[in-house]
Amino acid sequence: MAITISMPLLNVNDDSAILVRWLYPEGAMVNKDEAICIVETTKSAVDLYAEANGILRHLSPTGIAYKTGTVIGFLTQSVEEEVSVLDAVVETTENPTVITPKWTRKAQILAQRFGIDLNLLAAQYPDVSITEELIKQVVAQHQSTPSAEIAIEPSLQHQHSWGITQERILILGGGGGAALVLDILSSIASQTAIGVLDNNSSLVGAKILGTDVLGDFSLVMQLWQEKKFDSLISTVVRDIDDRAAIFERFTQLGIPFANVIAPSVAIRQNVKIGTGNLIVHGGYIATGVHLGNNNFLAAGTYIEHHSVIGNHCTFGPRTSLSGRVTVADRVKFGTQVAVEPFIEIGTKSVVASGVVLTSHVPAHSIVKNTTSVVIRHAR
Amino acid sequence: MSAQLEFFYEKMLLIRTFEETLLRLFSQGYLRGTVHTCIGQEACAVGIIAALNSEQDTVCSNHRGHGHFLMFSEQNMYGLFAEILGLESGICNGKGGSQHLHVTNFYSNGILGGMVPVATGIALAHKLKKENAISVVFVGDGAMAEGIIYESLNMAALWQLPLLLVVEQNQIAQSTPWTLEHGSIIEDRSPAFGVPRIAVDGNHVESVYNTAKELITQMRIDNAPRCLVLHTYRLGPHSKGDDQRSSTELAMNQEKDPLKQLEILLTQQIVTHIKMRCQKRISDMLTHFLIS
Amino acid sequence: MPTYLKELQQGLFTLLTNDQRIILLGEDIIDPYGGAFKVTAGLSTQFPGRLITTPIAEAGITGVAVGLALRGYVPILEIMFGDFLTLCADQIINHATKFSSMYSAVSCPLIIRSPMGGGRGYGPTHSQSLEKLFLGTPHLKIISPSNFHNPGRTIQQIVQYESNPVLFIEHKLLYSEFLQVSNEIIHVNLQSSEEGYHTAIIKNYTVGNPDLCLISYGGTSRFLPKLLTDLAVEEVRIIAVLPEVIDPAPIDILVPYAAAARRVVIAEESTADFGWAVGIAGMLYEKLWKQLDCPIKVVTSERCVIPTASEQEKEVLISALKIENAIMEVLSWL
Repeated sequence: MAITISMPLLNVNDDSAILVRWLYPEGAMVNKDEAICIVETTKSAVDLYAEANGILRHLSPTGIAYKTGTVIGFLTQSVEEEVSVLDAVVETTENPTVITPKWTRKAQILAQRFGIDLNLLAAQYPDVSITEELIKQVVAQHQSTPSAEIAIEPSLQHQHSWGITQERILILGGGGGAALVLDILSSIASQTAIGVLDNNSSLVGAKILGTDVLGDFSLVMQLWQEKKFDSLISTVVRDIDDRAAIFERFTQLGIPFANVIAPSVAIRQNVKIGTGNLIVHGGYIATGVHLGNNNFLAAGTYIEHHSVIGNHCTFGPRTSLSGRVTVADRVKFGTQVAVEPFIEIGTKSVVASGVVLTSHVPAHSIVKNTTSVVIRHAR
Repeated sequence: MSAQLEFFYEKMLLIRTFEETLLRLFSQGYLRGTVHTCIGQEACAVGIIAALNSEQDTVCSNHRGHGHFLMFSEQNMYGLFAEILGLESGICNGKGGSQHLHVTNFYSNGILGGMVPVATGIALAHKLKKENAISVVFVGDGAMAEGIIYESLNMAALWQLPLLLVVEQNQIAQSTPWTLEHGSIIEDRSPAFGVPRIAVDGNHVESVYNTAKELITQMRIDNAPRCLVLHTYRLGPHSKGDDQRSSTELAMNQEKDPLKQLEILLTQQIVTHIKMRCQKRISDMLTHFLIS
Repeated sequence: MPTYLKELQQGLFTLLTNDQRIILLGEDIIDPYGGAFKVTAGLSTQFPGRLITTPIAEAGITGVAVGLALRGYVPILEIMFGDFLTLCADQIINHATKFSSMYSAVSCPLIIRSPMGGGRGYGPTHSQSLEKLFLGTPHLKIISPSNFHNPGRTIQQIVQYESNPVLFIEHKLLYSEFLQVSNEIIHVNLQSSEEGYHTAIIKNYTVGNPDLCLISYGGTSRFLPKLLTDLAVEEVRIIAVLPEVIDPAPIDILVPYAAAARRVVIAEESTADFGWAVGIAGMLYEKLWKQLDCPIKVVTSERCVIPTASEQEKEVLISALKIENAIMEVLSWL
């Protein structure tokens, strides 16, 4: 009787793991307690051990994520012993498996070095294993024809199809946030800024990174009717309620908001993103994350897997959320906040800079570290 | 008989004069590092080594080895002096200095007890090569607290090796009296390992010589290890200026000085003659090295 | 195919046959036991009187071997576990190496063989890589062949060329390994020094420049066949350089390979900090300042006791995965 090898539950945060590598070939004799394969979750790579002596039979191809409990192989007592592949497969087909794009690690390293989005490249070259050679070709092409920025421009364009070649964006708010948006858009071919609006009349007529401040927010409707832009992005962050009100007012009028996402932001598989989100450089949105509308994620914001973020939230630089965190609407995070897994944060809460959240936060809370105190004077 | 006594006296006096000169030169700043003298223990060096055949037998010595060296290889006295002075013309090119001496069949080193297993290995080589040679190793009672000596005694007994362990029991380990070092008497140690032991007065050069001669004769026949414990007394400091013993204790032991014991037995004329000869040899040596 | 153990046994057999100066000493080395790791199995039967089984007195037997070496023999002393070399340290450092250097015209051709390394659950005092403690000892040579070398050839080379003490470090897990030769993916070249010692140069590619130079020695070679093969599939081009003479540091041999690759990982099984890898890294920085693309990465075992429990031991010791991660980290520098 064959012994099944199934994908174990590696930690409570992951209901699946990737079968990285078989350590012995098909048909190899393995001994009890010997490592037979390596599986990987978001947290770690671990070995699976043989439960008994036997002949190793591979069932599942490597490089693919399998749900916990999925049978990935067998240990048989003899070479001839039949294994019931069908029986095993039945257990696995509840959810289709996710196939990881294929590339060599060298290609991965070079892609990183040259700033190439491999997911995107893989989509362009389906059924091809991406190699060092291909990366070099892409780099060479890009360097000779800067306009042909296909592979080198990761953005949501390929995940959200608006059916237009270049999305024209109107920026609301003329502060530092506007500069951030303009800087990001300068490296995105599929989006362009047509202007900035700000209610501070002294700014009107000025230029931000070469883009004009056209007037105050009352111009939105006019410009929309003149079809001067395709979508809005809001950089208003000082007052969360104000930010929310702006988003809701224009959305009700039927004017769409854009997502502006810096090329260096890593957006992983199975991520859902609403509209009106601004995600600055260095961010990381892990697999399974749901991000609502009108959120502002400053540089280096990390949202770990399966976290759910509501609407109108702002994140200070380098704030990190662990896996399966729930954030309600209108939450404001300071700089470098750290949130433990499974934490829930209620609506309209404020979490001050540097806080490490280890417990839930009720709605309308303000969380702050105890004030830094001078412990002694230097002289 | 008198000729032998004269011979022993002259050898011991040469060692004494040589080492007293070293202490003087040290205080005058001619020497670096440290010197350990065997003043008061000369009979041990002379009595044992006179019984050896330096062509075939080997000696492993320790930090207090000038006496052993001069008795073993008097012809290299200038080489020894140059070595202690730190000259390249020294027997070890000035690298060794006082504690690390080597000429053919003679090895000394500065780690207490560390030469005993080496001497055991040399004894093993003598035995394997059927050289009928004896490996002698000198230690003091202080070193007899080192564990490796007992590992060596076990192997010498186990393999029946021609190893002669000479313990110069000078009653002091640097500054610590032997009674604060040892919980049992040293004479009882080697018999427990199956190595026969003889103890004699180490300040009586004839006793030392006669006993050594007898032991070595036996060892050339049975190729087996022996231990010889010599009761002696270090009249000088451990190195220089580091002696806290009372003047009463030192004065009592001056009476047992191996040189004085012989001076009683020899005529005044001979003693004076030998003293002059030794003085001349040392002053010639100093002249050779341009030291006044 | 010959194993590391068989080749070493064969080397000792040849030495005993051809050189009457050779004497083997050590604990439990004679038949029928033949040594804790069977390196001397059969030899005491074939060469009566040439192998001496000794009392359990590592310091004392080292001294005895020194005495033999001073008197015309070439003793090859086995210290059963490398961990016990701490007991031999005084005889090695203050005696054997001093005699050959501070005395005039004295040679002390002492060879001390000892197995180091973990991975077999022997626990804190039988699994260490303590050659580290002897690194940099004047007039002591430390030689540790990997399984890309032939340890039997090496020990003969030592007897032929050395007149001063040598520590010959084996790794417990190499004994049963086959000696590695070139295959379709891995190309092994042995570069010979003037003294006739080999440095194994191992490439997992045939054309192009290396992406990274991996420097290591001894037992870590057990990871390399698989690691280099796996990385070849990933197009990561590695040139691994394994000298068998590890001290004095073979820096002149290593520099050209490190310079060519511009990215360097140095791996050793001993504990972190102040070890061989760190020392080599220091010397490479001195020679190759501004010629490297990124900092040198050193991979070692953890600086703690080596636990007996299998999982804990794995966490502490160097592993293929740790080396692979270091390689990836270095390659990830822009």
